[in-house]
Amino acid sequence: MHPRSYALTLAAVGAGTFLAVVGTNLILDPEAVFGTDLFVRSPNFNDRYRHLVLYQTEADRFDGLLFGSSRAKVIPTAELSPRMGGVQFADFAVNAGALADHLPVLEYVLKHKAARREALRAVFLILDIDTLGHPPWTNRFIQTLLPPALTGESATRFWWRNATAIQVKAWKSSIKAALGWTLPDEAPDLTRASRSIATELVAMVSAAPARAQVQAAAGLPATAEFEPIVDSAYFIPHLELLRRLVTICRERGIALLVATTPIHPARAARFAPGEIGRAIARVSRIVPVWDFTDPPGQLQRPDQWRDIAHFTPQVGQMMVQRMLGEPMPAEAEDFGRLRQP
Amino acid sequence: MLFNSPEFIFLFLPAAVLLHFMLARRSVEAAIVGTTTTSLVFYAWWNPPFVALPVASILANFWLARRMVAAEPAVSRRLMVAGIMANLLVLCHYKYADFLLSIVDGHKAVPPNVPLALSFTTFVQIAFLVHVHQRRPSLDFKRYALFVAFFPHLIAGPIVRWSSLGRQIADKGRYRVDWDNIALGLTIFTFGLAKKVLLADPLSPHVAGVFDAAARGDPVTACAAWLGAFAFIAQIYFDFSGYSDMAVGLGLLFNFRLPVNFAAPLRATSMVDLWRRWHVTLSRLARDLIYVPIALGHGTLRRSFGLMLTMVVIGVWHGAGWTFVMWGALNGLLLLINQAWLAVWGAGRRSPAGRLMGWALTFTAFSVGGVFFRAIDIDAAWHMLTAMSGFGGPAGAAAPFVTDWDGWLVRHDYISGDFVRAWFGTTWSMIGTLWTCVALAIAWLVPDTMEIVDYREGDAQSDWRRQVGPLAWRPTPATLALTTAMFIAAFASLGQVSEFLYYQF
Repeated sequence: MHPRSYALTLAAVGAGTFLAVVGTNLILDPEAVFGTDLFVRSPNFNDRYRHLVLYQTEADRFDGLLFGSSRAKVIPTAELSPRMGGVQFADFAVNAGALADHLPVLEYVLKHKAARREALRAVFLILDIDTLGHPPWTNRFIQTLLPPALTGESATRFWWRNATAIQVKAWKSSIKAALGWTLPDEAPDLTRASRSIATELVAMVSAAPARAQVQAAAGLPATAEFEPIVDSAYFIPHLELLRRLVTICRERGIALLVATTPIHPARAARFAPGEIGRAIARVSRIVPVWDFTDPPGQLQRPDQWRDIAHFTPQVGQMMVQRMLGEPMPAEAEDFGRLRQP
Repeated sequence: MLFNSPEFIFLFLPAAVLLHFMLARRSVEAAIVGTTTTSLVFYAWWNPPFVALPVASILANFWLARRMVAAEPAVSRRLMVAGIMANLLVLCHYKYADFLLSIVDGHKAVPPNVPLALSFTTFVQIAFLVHVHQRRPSLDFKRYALFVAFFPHLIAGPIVRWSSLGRQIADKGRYRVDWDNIALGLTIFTFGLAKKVLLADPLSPHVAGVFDAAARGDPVTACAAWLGAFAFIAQIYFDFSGYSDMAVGLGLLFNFRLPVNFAAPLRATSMVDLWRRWHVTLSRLARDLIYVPIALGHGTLRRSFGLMLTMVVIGVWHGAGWTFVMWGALNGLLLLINQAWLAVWGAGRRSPAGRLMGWALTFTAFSVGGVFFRAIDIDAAWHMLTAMSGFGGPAGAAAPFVTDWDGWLVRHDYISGDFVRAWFGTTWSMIGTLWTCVALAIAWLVPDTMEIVDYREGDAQSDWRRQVGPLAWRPTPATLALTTAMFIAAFASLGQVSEFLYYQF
């Protein structure tokens, strides 16, 4: 074989592979960042990017921001407006949203509004207290890349990263969604999800004593498997970001409402007794916080939960009612209390 | 920009090669200036303002070299010493200042933020000044700038000499497209990429798991510690030799032949043999610049001192910290022991059993030394060595498995959970063991890239090479298919991103 043919073939295969990857990403657009819109949107789209685009298209309509994770997606932002002096909340509740996601958005919106001589009136921050011991997912996954407008990263770099990513699972998922195939594991069917969640909860709760027995038999301390929050290396950086967010709001006269999401007892069992309370106490030293982490018994039923972490819109509705001082249903009278320094 | 990044492979590299040969059609000078410029762009990609450092360094060293050529030998020598000192001062400022201060005032040194390639360009230019003093070559600024800045070797070597690359840059016959070299270069580059991406990178999380645990003071079983140390040697070998292969392949695309940097060192049967085969260009440079001036023509004591000093300098060259001092000193000590053995028993032919024993001892000793290289500080290294001695603490009987694979193997009764926990504890895994064995088996049994393609540039000591028989590379459809498959596999790995599939909760 002539070396020229060899070299050119190898180069052509390399270029072909590269172009195939770029082409696949542009056509399927799994993160929904290219705006190709040839197929149904993948369930794995980059919601950080999408929420910012939605905000930018109607920026003048919004004078409030809702920050939170996927748990906060059930908070009824449309219903908040008439009950909060007409503030229109732009929804920035994103999957695994953390303060590392929220603070850049706040800074961006403030700059954007200042340039248009508009004001931001309120920020509604919903914290997942149980994840403050974890590293944020910000920029760790292709689906959680922050848009360049927020990070200051070159837009070319952002598009390049999305265009050259080999993401076989996301491609498959996009193709299945486009073809209308929904495999059992992927179907967003809440009924089925409820059943599986109930099973999961039962399994987790019943597994807990077994773990403890194994630990005792092995001579290990019973706390060996507890997840740390306050003692985690990530807790202080999260608090620092919160402090910055609170300072910005105070300096600009922006009303700030902070709440924590309810935590199901099966998930709470992953933490040492009192750990969640300690974490909330640390947060409340920075800003008053509505504590919904310990829902009353009636709200612990499986039908109030979509899975181990996500509660239903009814629970979200009750959180809003409590914070706004509205009458509460009988089963939720003890739900939520304001924690202050 | 890394050699294994898509932007380098698919944008920068094709553009740089095309520009080089298009400019070469106009003139050799234009090609030299063009490729020097693309090399500086390559450097600036990392941090644009820092490109001033290599530019200033190139200008200063060339100015000094011109003065040396024009001066009397005695003056030239003084200028050379001044130049070496100036280069070392810059290196010390960026790389060793905090470490040296920590020795004085006792604070804990932090890893320095060293400008990219500074260690390599410093050594390359010091060697150049010595060469100019000794040989008084004719000098040309454009050639010198490309010699230092040429991007294939700029970041991590191989360390090049003016006597080789400088001469090649001056050779006008090299500025025409040579398809033999391009075919060979693409193949070597692909092999290097595969070494890095398919063999070294997958070992990284396993190695990090056990070394991070040791740094935290967590219990580490003896088995986990040894396997972690072996895995690290395999990782660093495939990582660095893969990078060196890529550099050689890239050089060939421009018709420049960079020297062989790794000669299958993990097959070495003695420490002396290993250091002739590991990071060859650095070892030779250190020998020529440090060992020979100190030891040549002197007695055993001074030679031993020269060897120890050379190895400590090699150690410190890799990083500012006591761990690197220890790594260099330990390897120096092992070389002295090896030399003492040779002095007593002679260097005659050894039996197969003797060679096997030599290989096992060499690999084990080098792996123990590698603990200092990888550990973040002396305490962490000590914890690893303690664990390797069997005193690393108890294994957690109820701890979860380190990887899902281990859990899967246990659930399906392929292996006992008690066995995994007792031997590997909470820091190592079956999959880590398997991957380490595969990587080491390849390092020991499969011919190296440079053997397969029979590339011998700068490989004066070629007695390490084996007959590769049918594996010998020639541009054929079969080798094309194999190289293509390797490239696609490597590309699939390097372009992979962390995917998080949310599936609506």
